[in-house]
Amino acid sequence: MTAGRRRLRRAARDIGIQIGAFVLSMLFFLVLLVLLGYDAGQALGALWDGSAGTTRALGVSLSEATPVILTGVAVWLAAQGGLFNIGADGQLQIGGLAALVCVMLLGLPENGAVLVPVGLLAAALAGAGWAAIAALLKTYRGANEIVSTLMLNFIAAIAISELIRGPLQSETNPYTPQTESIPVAAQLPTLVDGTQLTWGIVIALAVAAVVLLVVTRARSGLRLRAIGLNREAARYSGVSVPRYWLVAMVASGALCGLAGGLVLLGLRYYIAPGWASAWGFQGVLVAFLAMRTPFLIPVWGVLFGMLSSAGPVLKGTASVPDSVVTMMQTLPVVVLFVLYAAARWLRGERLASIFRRGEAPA
Amino acid sequence: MSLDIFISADFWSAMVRVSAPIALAALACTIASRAGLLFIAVEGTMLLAAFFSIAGTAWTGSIVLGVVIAAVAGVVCALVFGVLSMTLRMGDVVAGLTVHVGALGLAPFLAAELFPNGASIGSRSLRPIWPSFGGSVGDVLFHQQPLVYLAILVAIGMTLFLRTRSGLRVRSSGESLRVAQALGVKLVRLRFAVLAVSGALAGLAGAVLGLGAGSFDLNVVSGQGFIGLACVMLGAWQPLGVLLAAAVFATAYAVQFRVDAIGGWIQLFPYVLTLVAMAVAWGRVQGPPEEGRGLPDGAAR
Repeated sequence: MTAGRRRLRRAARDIGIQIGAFVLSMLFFLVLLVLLGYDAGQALGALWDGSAGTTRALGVSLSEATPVILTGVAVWLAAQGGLFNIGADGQLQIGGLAALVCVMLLGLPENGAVLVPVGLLAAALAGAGWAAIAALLKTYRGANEIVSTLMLNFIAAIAISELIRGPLQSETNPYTPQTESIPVAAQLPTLVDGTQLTWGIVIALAVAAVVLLVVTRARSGLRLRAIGLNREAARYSGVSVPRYWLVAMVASGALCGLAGGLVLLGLRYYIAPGWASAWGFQGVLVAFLAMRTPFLIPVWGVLFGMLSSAGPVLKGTASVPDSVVTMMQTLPVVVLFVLYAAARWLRGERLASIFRRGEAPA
Repeated sequence: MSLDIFISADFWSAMVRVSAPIALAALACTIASRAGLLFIAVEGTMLLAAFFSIAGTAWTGSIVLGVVIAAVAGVVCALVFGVLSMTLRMGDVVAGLTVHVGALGLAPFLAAELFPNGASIGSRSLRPIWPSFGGSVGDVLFHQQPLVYLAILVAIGMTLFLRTRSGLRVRSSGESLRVAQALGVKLVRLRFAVLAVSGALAGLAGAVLGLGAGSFDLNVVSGQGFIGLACVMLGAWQPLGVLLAAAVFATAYAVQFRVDAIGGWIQLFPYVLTLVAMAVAWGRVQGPPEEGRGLPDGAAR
């Protein structure tokens, strides 16, 4: 069998496992709902109506998916170099903040052709800068990037929560902690009339496609993956590990920042407590779900977007509480890893010795 | 801001009180880190334990049993994290986030199902079990609820433990898998054992928060578990250093409660301090190399 066919077969198996995981987790969810005494038919109806049943619902699903696609690709990109960027949430929030500040406070002309590009560029740069802190700590100090990006998430969240109570507090709405809305000119144009879906989804998909192509096809991307697979081997073959880490982390941050910019200019329009939903952590989950088949990241992004969109409808018509919907988000991950473990077990891969294949532990 | 608050015994008393859950969470993360595990599930574990401390107290009528039930819930939660991370090979990050999100859903779900009228422990609370020493300065040190002293004892005990034969085996699991293998360490078994301890400590931390609040609320932990993770860095992976780091974070909390003018900005201070500590490589320590990297393929049982 040629290498190409073998790769195709492996990809087909991975895709099959992922589809199986999603279908199974949905089945589990329905069984769970029945066991808890909810009406499964009603819940299934609500799930469909809330996520894809109407044009409007589909618009909400895709709007919610937009940031997840970008954060998912961002986390995946960093992971290719062996880095965990769990700072997606902080980078997204800082990106949104930068977009807001730039379109409102720079005194730019109220023209979409100026405001939108400036806002998105500012968002990407801010996200990149935020991630750069963790990247520098990692490359020059060897500091664990998992911990530093986690710290930076808290710093971003606390700083924004203080800013919207202080300097950025809305004057028209002085009693609730929130900012003014961005000017209408700065809002992303709607893609489909009658929905809240904007061109943001197109931008997100295009950027995601470019990043995926570069990392899987271009020489620099392959070098980054070489670092992720075996850092020492990459170093001895002449790849500058610190430089690639720096670039990968900063690019990852830029993607998350852009996600924040798209949310601010296309979905939320102002910053209030809780404005950035679970997109950062959903990005981490999506990246790890599709780690071996990155072109499925947008698909998982849309599926998570559909779950987010269906949540309020599930609560409204089938009275399924938020807490159950929150738990449901973890189901695909758990089911997928159970399936992987089962596949390993079926292949007869026993958990023998660490050094069985003569591999040195990293 | 006026500096008087720093000479008030009330302030320091509050600081010590606030530091107890942070210190327990941080010590839970410390022992896990030393064994090579990044215990990201700590926040979710504390949330579930906080619920079970309240539920346990409400069911049994005893605050001691409530604390015990919370610790058991913590152990179960940490072992679930271990199964996800090691048995299913999710790795610490994905497993940690999964447990975190699962707990964010499960805790309020259980609260709503089991206690439709709201879970509460009534007038019971975690109090010092002996009378005041009179002097307010003495009270700062000697008139706190018992779990404060437990945190200090755990830090001392952990320091000593890490120097014993078993402690060295735990450290080998965090420092170098090669050494661990040479010592004949059963990695997975050892890491599960360490997680059980971590879970119990995180459970106690959750109990302090839950019983301190008196009734269940989704925001009862509000990031204090993650602060525990930060404390591990700030304390350079040494239990006593971590205890001190918890006190630094607690001081920032206490100042925030007392001085309105500073507002929430003071909350940033410990996080920034942690990053600075990482940048200057505090004591040239960067933590166990295996921390959070998971098991190699086919690790020994």
